[in-house]
Amino acid sequence: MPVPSDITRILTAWRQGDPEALSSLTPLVYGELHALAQNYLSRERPGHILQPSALVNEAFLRLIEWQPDKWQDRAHFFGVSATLMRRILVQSAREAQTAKRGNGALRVSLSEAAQFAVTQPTDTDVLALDAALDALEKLNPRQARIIELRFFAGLSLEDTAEVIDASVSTVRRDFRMAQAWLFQQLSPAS
Amino acid sequence: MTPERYNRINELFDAALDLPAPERPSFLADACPDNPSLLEQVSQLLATHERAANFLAPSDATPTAIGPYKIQRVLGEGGMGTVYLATQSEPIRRDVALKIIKPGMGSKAVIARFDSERRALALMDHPNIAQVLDAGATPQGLPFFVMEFVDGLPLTTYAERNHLTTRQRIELFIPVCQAIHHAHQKGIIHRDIKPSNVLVKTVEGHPIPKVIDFGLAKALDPDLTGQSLLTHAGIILGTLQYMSPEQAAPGHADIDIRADVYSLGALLYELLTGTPPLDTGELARENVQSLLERIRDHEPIAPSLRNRASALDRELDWIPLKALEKERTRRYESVNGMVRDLERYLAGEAVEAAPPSNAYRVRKFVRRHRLPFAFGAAALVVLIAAVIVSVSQAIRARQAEQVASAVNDFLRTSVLAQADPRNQARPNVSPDPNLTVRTALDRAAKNVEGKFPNQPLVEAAIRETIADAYYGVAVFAPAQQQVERAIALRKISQGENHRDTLKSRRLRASLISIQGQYAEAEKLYTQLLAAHRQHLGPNDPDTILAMTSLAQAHRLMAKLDPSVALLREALAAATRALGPDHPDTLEIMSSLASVSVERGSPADAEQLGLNVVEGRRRTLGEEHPDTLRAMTSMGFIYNRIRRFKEEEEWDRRVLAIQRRVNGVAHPDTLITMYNLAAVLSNRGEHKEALALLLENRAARDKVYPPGHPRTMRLLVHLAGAYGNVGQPAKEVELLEEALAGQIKALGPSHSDSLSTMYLLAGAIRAKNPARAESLTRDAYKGLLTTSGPASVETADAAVDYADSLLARRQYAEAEQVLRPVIDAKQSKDADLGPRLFAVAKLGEVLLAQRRWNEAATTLTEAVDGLSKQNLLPSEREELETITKRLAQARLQTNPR
Repeated sequence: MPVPSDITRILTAWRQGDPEALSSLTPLVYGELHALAQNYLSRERPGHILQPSALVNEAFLRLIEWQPDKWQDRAHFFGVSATLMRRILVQSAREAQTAKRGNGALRVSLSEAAQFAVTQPTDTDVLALDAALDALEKLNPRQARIIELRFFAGLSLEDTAEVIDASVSTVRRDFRMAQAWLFQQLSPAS
Repeated sequence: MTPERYNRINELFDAALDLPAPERPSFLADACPDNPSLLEQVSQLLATHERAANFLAPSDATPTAIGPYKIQRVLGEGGMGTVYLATQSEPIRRDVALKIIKPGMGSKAVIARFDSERRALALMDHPNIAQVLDAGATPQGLPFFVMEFVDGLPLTTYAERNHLTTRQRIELFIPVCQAIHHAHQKGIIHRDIKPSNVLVKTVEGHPIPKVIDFGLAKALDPDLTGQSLLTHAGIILGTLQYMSPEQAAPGHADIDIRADVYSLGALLYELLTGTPPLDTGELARENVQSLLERIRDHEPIAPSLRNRASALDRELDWIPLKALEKERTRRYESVNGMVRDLERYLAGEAVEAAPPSNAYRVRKFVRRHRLPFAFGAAALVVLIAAVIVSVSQAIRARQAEQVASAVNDFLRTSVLAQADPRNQARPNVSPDPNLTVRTALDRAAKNVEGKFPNQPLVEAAIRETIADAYYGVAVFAPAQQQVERAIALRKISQGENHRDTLKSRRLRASLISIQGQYAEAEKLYTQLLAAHRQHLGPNDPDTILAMTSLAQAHRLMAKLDPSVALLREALAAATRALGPDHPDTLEIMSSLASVSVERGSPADAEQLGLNVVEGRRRTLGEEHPDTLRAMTSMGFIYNRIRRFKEEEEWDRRVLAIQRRVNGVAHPDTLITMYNLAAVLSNRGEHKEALALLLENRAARDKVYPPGHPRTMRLLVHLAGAYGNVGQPAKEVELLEEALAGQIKALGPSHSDSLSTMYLLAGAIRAKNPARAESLTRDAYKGLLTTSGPASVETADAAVDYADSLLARRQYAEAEQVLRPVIDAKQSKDADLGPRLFAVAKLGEVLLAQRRWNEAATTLTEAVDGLSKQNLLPSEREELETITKRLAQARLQTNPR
């Protein structure tokens, strides 16, 4: 469990321009999020929906509880936690894949990873999305980032805009494009 | 795929999506004429877009349960989200209202902002505030709030459905104000007061208003103002009508309690008129930007001009209009100021200044213009303070030394120690900079538990002290819990009628009363008084206290006769036991005077009031606020019993002291000055009235901005004063100035403008009869539709207009003008004079047509009615003329 004052200190350092700060922050927040994710995954019944935004929220609220003035850094926090959520989910999916299939081991599919009304690529899993996002990042890094924030951290358009410091309409257009693009990339036909 | 190609696809994709679907193929064909593969890729992406609408997007589906809350059904869809009825399973089972905020409201920060106010919200404990119990995030990450479930209708809907009278509406509105004021005292601004946030539930047949959604507006958007509104415009439209101009202003205005004052004004406005100050119909047609401008610039029409006009007193206009001032420095400084004005209005008195025509129309009747006693709210504060002092004194005086020191020790270590930073910084206790009295008390209350197993009296005394302190910070429910535990302990060890037990029981009854359960409080006080008489004797100070408490309880239940009887008994007992000049004796006497006025026996009030003034003057000195309050009350009493000479004398005394103590440019001084000018006009002391009004105007200009409607009213008074001292030119000049100002500020069809029009007509009749008649006609027609036929101004205008028609022998028209005024249904306590003069004028019209019988009947009605009225000298002359006309008509009907 990270010591709250460490997170405060690191966030302050980061805000003051120390690039090293983020890398020392990541394990702390990662540890917290991972513990939460594990907790959720083990508590819920298999096949039950894992809710990334709930995880982020809870981690966020815990951080707030430690240090009430922290939330001024919420944009940073969400930015970091979106990346971390993605890593956690990918790691969980890899673990699930290496386990023997069909023995009841936890399998995190996209439809489980978020509660959305997916119409087509139900079989696509987090790993495929991860790869597609990596590819998209080379084509348009901002759009990849927006997907990460929207999907993995469950952020609204407004919050996403705040995190990447862009207008809501830019986020909306970018999201629209990336959404269609990734859908196409992940559809069985392509 | 290269980034360049991807971005090219992206550009075309965006451009195509901005077009209507049918135009897209031709657009794409034009955009890439020699690149079929690019065309193909963009087309496919467009097709995919349709199917991928929800792909990777956060969802906002409604769950069936959130944590311990099981969702039952939808209660309503609001602008910001959906409200559900939910059942909480733990720690207790109860119904709650659960509000899930729509996505896109800045969701993540909402809970954090709410948390920052959570401590303050927890401090609020008021019977008219629905408590916010919990906040959190749904599994989808949407913020939700859990509130006390209020099963009721929005305030305005409730009032409409139950056809409430204006008085009932105001009586329902006052507790809403008190709830908001309570929140303000805890540092919480609601920011989103509107009808749907004030629900009325019915408890045992009594309507109880409850303010909901405290803390939500701030949590939802810390800058719920100006430009940020534009992004949520569709969502917030329902709120705009109640939003203060500073909230609608661009940029980040600082919002303070006066924003709530504005919204309360808007709510009151709608409650009185059925329409919000800015019309929904008008709002829907305009775009958001112009709506916001409208909120900032558009002056609302006076409530009495709205559809409920005929029933609405113009005195009442000033309360919502003052709250709705664009410039917040001109609004009520606190919600309490608004409550005081509403209570004054309900007591039948002027809000601040009566309409201009009252003092002006010296030939008309004297009407009430006095400001009332400051009982009501002020008395309540005194009551609370008295309880606190008496309880703490009692502990010192009556507890055995041992008990007193045990209580002291406990309070020192358990309550006071918490507030000491040195104690807070002990190794195992983290410092709490936000420690509040409430928190300290909560901890203390917890600490008492099980600490005094063999000392029930010590525990009872501590619990009483805690209850008392809760009372002091207006947290009533826990106070009641503590005092009930104390009573239980005392009953066992001392018996239920021991002096100390009785004191504790009185505290409990007063807590029940202050929480609004008047009937229950009355029952308890009745039992308590009987117990006091039997066990402590009739002259014991505690018995006297029980008497006045029961008298107050009767008064709250509008049982004035038993209230007066008890106060008399209490007064006799207090005079015997404490002496005639004791502050408690004088306070009882003052209460008795107030209730006597309320009950309609001002003659009794006179003697009592004089005794109070004399006693206070002797004991406190002349400049003491309590003495001044008692002296102002004397003017009020004399006005009620129409002894204007005495009224004048008392006004003079008060004014002299106020000039000395407060100076002229002080609201209290201005009011007294105005009251005095009015009574001087009524008594024919025109020169002095004029001087006072001139001084008032000069001082008023320092307080109010130029062109303010109230200053315009004062100009009208001043014009009347000039007329009365024989300076008609000056009179006309001021009336013209006032009329121009009123038309500019309020519009030509405002009743203020109309009555000035009519007064101006009277002033110019001799010199310019044509313009006078047309002004009179316009004023009459305007007043008839806006103020209604029952209004005093309409009646006056009708008489003057009929008079000019009569002069031109247009009898039928004259009759037509007078009829609606004569036939109008008068309210119980209306000034009947103007209508009676209209009846007399009709008699004159009938007489001119030689319709003797009808004329005789009509004139008899007028003479009989007017003879019963308290008339001014000029009116008495008029009555003589009318009596002569009656004689003439009778002579014709019974020729001898």
